[in-house]
Amino acid sequence: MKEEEIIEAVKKINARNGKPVDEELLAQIIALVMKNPIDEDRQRCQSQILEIINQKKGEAD
Amino acid sequence: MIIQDIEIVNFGPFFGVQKVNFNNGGLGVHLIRGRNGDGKTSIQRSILWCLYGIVKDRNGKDIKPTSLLNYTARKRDIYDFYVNLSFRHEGSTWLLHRRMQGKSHSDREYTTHMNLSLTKNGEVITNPAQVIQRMIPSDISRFFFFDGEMLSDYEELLYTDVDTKFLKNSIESVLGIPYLKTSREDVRIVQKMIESQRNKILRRLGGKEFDEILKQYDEVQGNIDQCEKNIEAMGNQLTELETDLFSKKRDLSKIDSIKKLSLDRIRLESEIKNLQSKREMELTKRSQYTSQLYKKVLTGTSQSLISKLQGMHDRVMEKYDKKQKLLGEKDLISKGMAEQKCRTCGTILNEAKLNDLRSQLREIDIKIDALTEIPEPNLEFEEYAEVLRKVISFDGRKESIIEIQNRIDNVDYEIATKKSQLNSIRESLAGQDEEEPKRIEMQIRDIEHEKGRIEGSMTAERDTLNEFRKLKSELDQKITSIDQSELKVLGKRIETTKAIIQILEEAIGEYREQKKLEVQNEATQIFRQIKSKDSFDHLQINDQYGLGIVTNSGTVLDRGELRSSGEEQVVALSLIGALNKCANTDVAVFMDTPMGRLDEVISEKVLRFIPKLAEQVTLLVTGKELRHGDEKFLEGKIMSDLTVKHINEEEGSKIYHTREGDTV
Repeated sequence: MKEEEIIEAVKKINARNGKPVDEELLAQIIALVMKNPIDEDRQRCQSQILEIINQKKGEAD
Repeated sequence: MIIQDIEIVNFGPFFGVQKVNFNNGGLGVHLIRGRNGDGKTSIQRSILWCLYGIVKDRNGKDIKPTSLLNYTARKRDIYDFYVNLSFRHEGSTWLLHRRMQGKSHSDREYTTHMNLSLTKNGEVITNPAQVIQRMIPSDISRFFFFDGEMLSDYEELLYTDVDTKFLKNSIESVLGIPYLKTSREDVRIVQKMIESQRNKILRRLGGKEFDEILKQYDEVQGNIDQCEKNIEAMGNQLTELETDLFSKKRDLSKIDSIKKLSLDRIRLESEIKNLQSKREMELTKRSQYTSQLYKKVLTGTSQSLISKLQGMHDRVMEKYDKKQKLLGEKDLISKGMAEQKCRTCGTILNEAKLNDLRSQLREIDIKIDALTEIPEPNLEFEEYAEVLRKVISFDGRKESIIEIQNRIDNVDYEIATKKSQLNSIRESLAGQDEEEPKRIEMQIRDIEHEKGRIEGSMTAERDTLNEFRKLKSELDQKITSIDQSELKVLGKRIETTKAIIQILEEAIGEYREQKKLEVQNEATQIFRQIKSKDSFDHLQINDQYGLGIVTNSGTVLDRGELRSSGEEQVVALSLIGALNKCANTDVAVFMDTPMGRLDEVISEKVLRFIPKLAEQVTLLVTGKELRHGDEKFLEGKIMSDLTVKHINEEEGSKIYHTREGDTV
């Protein structure tokens, strides 16, 4: 499957960025969307992305 | 997805239960042979219907459920049809069952009573339709279950002046680009969710300053939402206009080719007429051969019959000749007696000689009387004997009749093919008038004008949106500067979402270019294996994923009129092959009539390439595409060899293992 391929492409661009985002966070979001690609998945998928961001960028951060 | 079995019941031309079992667990190459109209396309449609509940015809229109029910089932008031599909996907065994059952024959009844179920390793899965969409989105299915008759659609990609958004979007779907777009949109919504959370806290904190910021924030956000809505609506309008424009330009190019079509129609009509005469001749020949073959069985009897007849005839002729001779003699004597003079030497006959002659005459009369029973010779005898002799001399072999039948079948096939071409030409020519091109040109101008106007408004709206976003960013900074830990955390999260959106935005463009190059390289590799001319070097992709042929001298053949229809098909097949290689999912490939426009040399090259196309490739082919002996080009990869044949109106079509001597 090409999941890794897409994630790699995004990581490459992130690495070039002056202020890179947490790679793992990017990978988690893309993997989540790829597993839930259809319209019916959107709400659930967005809630999970919010949760991931909340965890990664929590108060301790 | 590797398809292992298909069970089709009362669907399309199939009455009752028909099964397609793919050997070797579905892996390898599978052949489904059949003539035009025998049911090959219906097998492919049954799979698509089972997966998505919708089947489209070759004009892209949905086929109504009432048209899917088998004719005989309907006649017998059986309003029930279904398809079972068993397949392997990501290491699990799946069984998909879709059924339409009604109390009466109506689309509404069928749609209301549609049943869909899915099991994974024997366990029932909820939301089967969604699970299937996640496995293979319906918009990319055309690249895995494709119709050779529709390959010309891909030619449209070459025309950069025609926007083929729908096709381009499907290609991008295969390549996985929408994942990045969806990720970006999801993160954008998450950003709004966090912003709303932060604003709630701000409201809770209260105070004149915060109230003012919030007021401005709500206003800016409202404007942003409105701008985004407007841009989306304009985008939809543009898509509609582009689709309309595409179809108008296609209509116009069709009208331009009317003259050619008219000539083609005349040529086809004449060819069909000639073929029909040829068919009549072959039918007569077949009927003669059949009748002679039956007579051949009577050879022994004929020989003895001829001998008997000959003997009888000879005996009759002998007696007849004798009687004629006696009658001549009688005539001579009678005349001599009357003249009392010898008819030969002229001597005067005395009484004694006359008495002698009278006695001779009596003897002759007695002999003639004895021969009176002899009939006149049968003049028809020779005719009958000749017929019987022909029966004996006829070299009637069963093979001769088979050869004639094969010739009739070939003529039938040619007539059917030409008739189908003629019908499509007639459809294209129907209702055309001279003013039509002018009208279409005016409509195109109007659409282009409207398109330009909307594009201008969209650019202005985007500028406004950017202004509002800048304002929002400034307000964000103000809020971030508030000394409140909870707000700071949320601020960081918002900044993270913004950064992710920006990265994904860049990734979409970059990944698209990367995949485009990959498609170009893969397609070139395939093209080099199946190309028709040595002077063709490689393929070059355009922004719409259309492929131009680049010759050794660097000339780009990027317009349909520069390439033959066979070359167009080779390029389209190269694109399909490349998309399968670059796709972000592994799916079985079904190719319906993939080599219809290819000559024998190119067909051989395509066949040699097919086993490398995917883990499972099923070819739905006519006898013209896969000729006798062509199987060797598939290099021992054929795992199943099936034939679909239309028996008659009542029984419909049947699927069975191909037998030696089957002609399709």
